[in-house]
Amino acid sequence: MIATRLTPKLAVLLLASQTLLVAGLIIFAKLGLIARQEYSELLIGLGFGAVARGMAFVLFLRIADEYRSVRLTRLAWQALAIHAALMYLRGLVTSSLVDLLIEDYYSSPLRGFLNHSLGSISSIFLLLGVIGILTGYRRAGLGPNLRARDYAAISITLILFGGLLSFRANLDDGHSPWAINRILQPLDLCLIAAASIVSIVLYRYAASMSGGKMAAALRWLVIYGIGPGVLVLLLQVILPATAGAILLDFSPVGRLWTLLPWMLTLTAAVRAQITVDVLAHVARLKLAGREKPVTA
Amino acid sequence: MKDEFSDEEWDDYLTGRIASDARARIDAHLLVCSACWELYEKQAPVMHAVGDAAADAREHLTISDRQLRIMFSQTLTTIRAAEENTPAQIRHGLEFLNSLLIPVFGPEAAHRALRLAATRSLDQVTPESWNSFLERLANITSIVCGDVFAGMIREHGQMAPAVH
Repeated sequence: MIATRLTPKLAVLLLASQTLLVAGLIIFAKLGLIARQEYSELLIGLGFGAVARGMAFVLFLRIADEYRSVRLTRLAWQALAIHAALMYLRGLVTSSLVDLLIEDYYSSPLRGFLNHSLGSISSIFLLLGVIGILTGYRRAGLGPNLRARDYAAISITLILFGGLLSFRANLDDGHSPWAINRILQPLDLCLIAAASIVSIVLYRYAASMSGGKMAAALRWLVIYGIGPGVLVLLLQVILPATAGAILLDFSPVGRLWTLLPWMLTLTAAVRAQITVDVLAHVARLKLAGREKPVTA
Repeated sequence: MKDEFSDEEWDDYLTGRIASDARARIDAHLLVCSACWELYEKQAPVMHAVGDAAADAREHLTISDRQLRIMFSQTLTTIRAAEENTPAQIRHGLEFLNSLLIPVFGPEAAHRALRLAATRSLDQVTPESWNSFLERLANITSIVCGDVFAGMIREHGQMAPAVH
């Protein structure tokens, strides 16, 4: 069983390795010990990203197989698997490493198109996945009601993204020569905002469980769903606004994008571990052999 | 007893959280009803012990009010299930299922799933309705955790342990 090998511990170990490697390169460069290794940082991000997305893809498909009798939830986990695969493809075709093969690729409209079209499609699959899981819970009768602070968080998200969209002319593709890019970028942002909002709802579901392994898996999915929204706001709104006041180089903050895939991998690994634990528990119960029928 | 006051009032009475007029009413009833007095004598020490333990836990451990409420609700479920009309095997079965659900669902969702599967109240699960209760619970767990976990609930719910 693949889930016995692709464990949450392995995911955390790989995440820590990637963080240490990239942070080490950046810190050494800042200390003047080495030159800034931008391509090495990108390669590390791409390599570890491939492992993270690959693990998530395989695990999500295995998890979906466990829901043969519940079609909606099965489709939801499959949607998350497709999301993982599309996001890796997006990371690959939008990397500035492609500049080594195609001149000026990074600033070309083709890259912008691939970035936002793949981003939008993968965000749709993420939304479908999370909404599918939420709907399943609600149908089972386990859906809690949202609280005032959830509505407050949703309102703040809407206001921040609304503000960002109203200044979309300042975004990367705000003046793209391709009209489709000028449409796709705001759409991509809307979908990121939607994923953040749905993740806030998912957080309430996870919190209402008061612990347990399923809640732990959902919490990683919440972090993954909210992450892009937080990073977009951080990189597009907060850091540019504070750049004049704080004289620090914020460029390494962009590397946080490369750590985000691990949150999805951890969702899959923690969820898959439930089945491993359940099977081990069943084996222990059978060994204990202390069972007696209730309805004799 | 149910004609005189509700289960909630009784629980509040035992834990000392009841309003003074309702307390007076139950006090008066206990003076004339030997069945309720026996029930009080049986349950009060347990509830006081739980209350003391909860106070201790609150003082010495960092347990939130929310977690405390969950623990308290589980204790109440166990005490209610222990009432004469709930057969011991059903009680053991419910405790066993709860012990399977909690590590995955968390205590609150596990309790909610059991209650949903029971459709009304856990007290009303009987040996006759056990199979349909189990099937409803398996359906709920299959939505949340998939067929493997639901299969375990189905299989081991039929074979709940006699002694814990």
